[in-house]
Amino acid sequence: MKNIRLFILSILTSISLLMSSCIKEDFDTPPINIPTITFDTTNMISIANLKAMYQGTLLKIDTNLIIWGKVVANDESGNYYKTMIIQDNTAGLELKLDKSYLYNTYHLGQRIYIKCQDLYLGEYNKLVQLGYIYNNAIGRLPETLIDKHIFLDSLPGKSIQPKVININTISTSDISRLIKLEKLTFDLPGQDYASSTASTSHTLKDVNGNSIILRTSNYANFIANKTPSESVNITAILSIYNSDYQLTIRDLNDVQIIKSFLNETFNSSAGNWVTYSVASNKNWAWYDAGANMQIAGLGADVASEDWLISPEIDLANSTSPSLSFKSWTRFEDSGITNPMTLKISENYSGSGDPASANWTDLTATFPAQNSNTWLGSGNIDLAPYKNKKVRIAFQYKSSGTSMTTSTQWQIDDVKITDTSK
Amino acid sequence: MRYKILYLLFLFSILSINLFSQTSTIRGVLIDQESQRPIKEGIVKIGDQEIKTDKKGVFEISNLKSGDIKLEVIADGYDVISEEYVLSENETKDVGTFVMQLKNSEISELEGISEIELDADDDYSGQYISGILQSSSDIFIATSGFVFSYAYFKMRGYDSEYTDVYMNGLLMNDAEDERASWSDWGGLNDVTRNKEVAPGISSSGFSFGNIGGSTNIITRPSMIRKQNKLTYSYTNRSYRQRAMYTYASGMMKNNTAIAFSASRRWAEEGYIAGTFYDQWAYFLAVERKFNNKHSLAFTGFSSPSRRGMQAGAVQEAYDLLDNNYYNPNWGFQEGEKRNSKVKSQDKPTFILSHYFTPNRKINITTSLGFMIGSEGRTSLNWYDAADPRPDYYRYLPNYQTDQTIRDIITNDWKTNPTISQINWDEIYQVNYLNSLEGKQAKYIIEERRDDNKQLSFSSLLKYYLNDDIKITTGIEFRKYTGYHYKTLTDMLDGTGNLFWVDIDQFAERDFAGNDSIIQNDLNNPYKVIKEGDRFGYDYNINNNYGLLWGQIDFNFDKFDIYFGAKGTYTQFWRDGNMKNGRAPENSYGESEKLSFTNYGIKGGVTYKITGRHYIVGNATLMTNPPTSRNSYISPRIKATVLPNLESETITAGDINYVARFPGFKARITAYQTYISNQMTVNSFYHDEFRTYVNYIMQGVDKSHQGLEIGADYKLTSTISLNAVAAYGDHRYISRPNATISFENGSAPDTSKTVYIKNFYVTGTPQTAGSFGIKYFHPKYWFFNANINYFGKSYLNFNPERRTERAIANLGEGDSLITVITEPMLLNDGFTLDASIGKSLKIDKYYINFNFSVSNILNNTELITGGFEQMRFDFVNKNVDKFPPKYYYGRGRTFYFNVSFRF
Repeated sequence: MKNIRLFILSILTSISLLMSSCIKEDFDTPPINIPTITFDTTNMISIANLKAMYQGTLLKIDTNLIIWGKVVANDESGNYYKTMIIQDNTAGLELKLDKSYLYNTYHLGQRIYIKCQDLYLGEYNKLVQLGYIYNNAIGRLPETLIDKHIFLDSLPGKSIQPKVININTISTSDISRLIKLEKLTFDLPGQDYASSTASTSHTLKDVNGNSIILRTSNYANFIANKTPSESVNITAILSIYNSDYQLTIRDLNDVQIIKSFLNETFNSSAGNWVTYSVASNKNWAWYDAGANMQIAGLGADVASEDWLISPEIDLANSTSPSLSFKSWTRFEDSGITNPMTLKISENYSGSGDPASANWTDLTATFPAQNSNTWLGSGNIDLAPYKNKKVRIAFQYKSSGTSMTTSTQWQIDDVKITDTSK
Repeated sequence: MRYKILYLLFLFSILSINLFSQTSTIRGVLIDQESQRPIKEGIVKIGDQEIKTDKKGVFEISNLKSGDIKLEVIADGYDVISEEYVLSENETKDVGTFVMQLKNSEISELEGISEIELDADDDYSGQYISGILQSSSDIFIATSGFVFSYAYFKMRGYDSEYTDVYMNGLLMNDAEDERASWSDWGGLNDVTRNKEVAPGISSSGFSFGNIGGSTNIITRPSMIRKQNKLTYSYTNRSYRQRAMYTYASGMMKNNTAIAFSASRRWAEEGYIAGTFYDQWAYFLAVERKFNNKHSLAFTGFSSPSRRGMQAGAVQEAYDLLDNNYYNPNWGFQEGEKRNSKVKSQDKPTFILSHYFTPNRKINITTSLGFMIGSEGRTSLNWYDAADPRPDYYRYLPNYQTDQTIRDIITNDWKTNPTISQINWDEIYQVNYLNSLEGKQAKYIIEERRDDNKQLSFSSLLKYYLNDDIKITTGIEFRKYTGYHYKTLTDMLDGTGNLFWVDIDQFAERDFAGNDSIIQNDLNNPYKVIKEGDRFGYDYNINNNYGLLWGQIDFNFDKFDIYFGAKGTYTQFWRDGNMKNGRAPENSYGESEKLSFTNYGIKGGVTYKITGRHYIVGNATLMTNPPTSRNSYISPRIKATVLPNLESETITAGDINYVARFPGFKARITAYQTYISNQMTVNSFYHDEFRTYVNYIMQGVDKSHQGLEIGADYKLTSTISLNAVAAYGDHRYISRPNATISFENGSAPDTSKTVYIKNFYVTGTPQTAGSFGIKYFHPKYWFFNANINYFGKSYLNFNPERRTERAIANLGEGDSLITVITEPMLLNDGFTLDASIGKSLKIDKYYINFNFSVSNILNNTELITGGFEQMRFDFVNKNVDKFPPKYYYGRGRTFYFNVSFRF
């Protein structure tokens, strides 16, 4: 009797012990993995030198060469497919990889090392690529081999800054690099970036009339967006197709639209600018020979104070508008250090004495007195005035009426633009 | 009252009987625990007085001496019951009901394969129930329920929606799909053993019935055998261990009966890799007898569970790992196997029952039930990221064309578990890198929830008009609301910075730039989702149901005859909690209410040729409404119902020959059933369109015909032989119309004809047989063995391959047509099972040992389930591009069970 009770008790005890066995569902979160390469890097070679090994025929790399680079473009928007671009200090390189969603692993700014042995260098219409062999030509590196050749090192860092160049200075050494071209316009604004059935080319022109092709895949997620009519700054990977350079943007953030709020060239008149003379009989006037606005206090009845005031400018939907103009001056006013002042007002009515409104001085670059050359003003930040209605004004003053007490000025190309999206 | 239950062997202790006048009387009734039917000709002994029970199981012994008496109940085939009482002078003592348990009934406690559930990619298939079958005394039914469950044998080829499961008179089948789930009370074997069974079309004591049979589980505590029982099991099947404790008081002196049971079944890993199992169960029932006319009983139980699921895989994956039990659902996370698909459920159920016997002829049972259930299935979801499932077809060697690459991948699969299983570390790292850029999570675990609340009521009247005629009638009502939604359960993120956005990413791809169509909820556009939030879809299904039925039984000398009829009313509607961007006008708020009125009639006759030979015939005609689950084209998205929603019609009949000799019992049955205008829904994830697709077939007509044979022969007093065989011819006999709906709206809903006429019904062997031998030693140990055969099983087919489009552009007689359209016959196979057991008594403790081994020959080549992938390569018509996925029956498994009863 006692034994059997003991037996049952021990069974009960062991069952309850067994029942406490934990069914593990509360899994530890894996620690954050900061990848580092562990292999020997004595056989490093620059991307430029690696690309230089390619001599026009498919090349199998049969030595243990290692390159490093930072990811400058991947497949996130779909404009690249199974492709990413890396860049080191010497050059950029296009990688052909047989894997989708590369961007989840290879973020922009990610530093990677590539063991190049057994990979292939080849070309696609003059574009040198690193990949694998497919039908005796360059092909994609099979997914299963990617992890055996490409290694992450550290977490993604800062993105590489694009190299700012002009279309006419592009050289083959820039191919597969991230570059930036400024003030381009689309030949055909208002078009889809690409048709839904095929990759599409758009021609971009710079201010000097040089043109370059922007090529967009129909798989990009922004194809239904329209090409802008404004001029743009473009960040893109430079590519080549036989003899033609091409640009490939990573996504629409690479197309920086230059939004224009004011673009006064005074080509044929003073436009709707207001001139107001506070003092003297010499006033702001349109100068037909220079197609600009001009003033000079020489020979006036009294010392001058004259205002050139813009029409009202609505900075609605801007984020960081910026003002620029160019100016020219001659003679020297010994009585005044800065005969020309740039001002801005939010409450000038559009006519009458400017003294009736509040004006704030803006800092601009003006040419030195008697310099006799046109000088750009630089970009004057109007961000404090975004989404406001403003007028800007050039206030001219002289201390007298002679060649040494008054200056001559010309103002032209007054622009307000916004280069953010 | 102090009860003791003793075996016959230990009975002969000396009783002290005070010698007083012999004037007292004792009476009671014997019933069979399983069937709840009276036991006639049972022997009741008090001292040297002995009496047999009458045909209603009643005994009465008069002229007893007052004082202590000892009563023994002995009935052929049952455990002996022994009780002690104190009789007063001139007392007439009603000792109530003795619930008799069949000898060796503990064998049935070895849980069969029946509780396995497989996780197919579609939500609704793959569940198998056989609990109804194990409880029958019919040799065919009992065998097919137990040994055939290995191969998911479905009796007569019927799906589980044609089997009704009741508890205390309340229908327990799911209101939305009409399917019964035995796991709702899994682990409560001791207290759910009492069952009334109405196999197939038959006279039923509790409801109209269904063609797949019906069962009423009775949890009335006074009907549960008095016991204190402790059970421990050790096995290598779905779970590893089971511990269970049960207490039942029987009807106590204070007119109260209590039953309690609790258990746990668990495994850190079951037979299949990565499948953990953790199921608890608890049960409490209290009955109060107010007087001889009124009793009230309360039952409350639940069986909360969590378990890691198995998924079918393509043969290529099984071959790569040389393991037919490869499970792609799990991967290592910090050294532990983590399963991405976890099924959990908890369905607390409360039933209040009133038993009313106004007189000997009338019996009324009324029950009121309330259930508040939750059920969830987790799954990985991903946004603009690589498919995380290791067996995605592009990750398999055969997808590659280059032999070198194929060899490398083959080697990776064989050697690297981050390739062949889910790579959790990679998933976490991708999420982490995205968190650094402030982007949304790329991978999450979501849980698709199917919760519900249900109020049900039933009342059953039995009226014994006279000895020959019995009338049974009942009403049932059910008010149900199902809550369907998904929640984000794990962001798979260590930083806490990640989030998810509630848009349909696949609609986003197809409708780039359309801000509204991609919203899952236009009332909360671009909703930012954190862990625990609902997203994706959220809708309720309301379903009200009423049944009125009646049955009359005539019992004559040569004939037993019954007729029954039922009428039902069903009403259901959808109530959307989100305004879906793909159906802005048709998703939010209550939809139109649909209602259906249906009927059924049945009848049968038993012709008693002699007491040894019977001919039994049954027939039924009934209609069933479309289920609320099948009626909506894309219920997660919108309230649109299928065109031409109609009830299905069932006509069924069977004819049986039954032989009952003392040493030989046999039954031969021929049956024919037509199910017409059936509807089937398959909801699955489509890799190509990357969305859930609902594939609904309407106008499905099926014919189920076949033979069932069962025989039991007593070779000697200790050895008996049994044999059962089923031969079925279950086919589709129409060309259904399929409606296909993409949940991301990437294509409009379309419909097409599916050419599957004369295809075999799938998901079950249509031919099965078993031959068994049973040995029972008088010293309470037993041995039995069965050899089983399974054949004529067809793989679940992809209807898309049986459409005009699938064979378009193929010339007449092109051999490819056969390859594409032919259904796939699975291999047949044998299994061998055996078990051995011993019962013994030490002191007042009864100890039972059982050890059973299934599939002793370790046949690991028998495909017991699977499906053709729903994707088809329409362009190249290559059937091997998306090969079928299979499940293999388990190899050798064992089950060891020990129980103590006191």
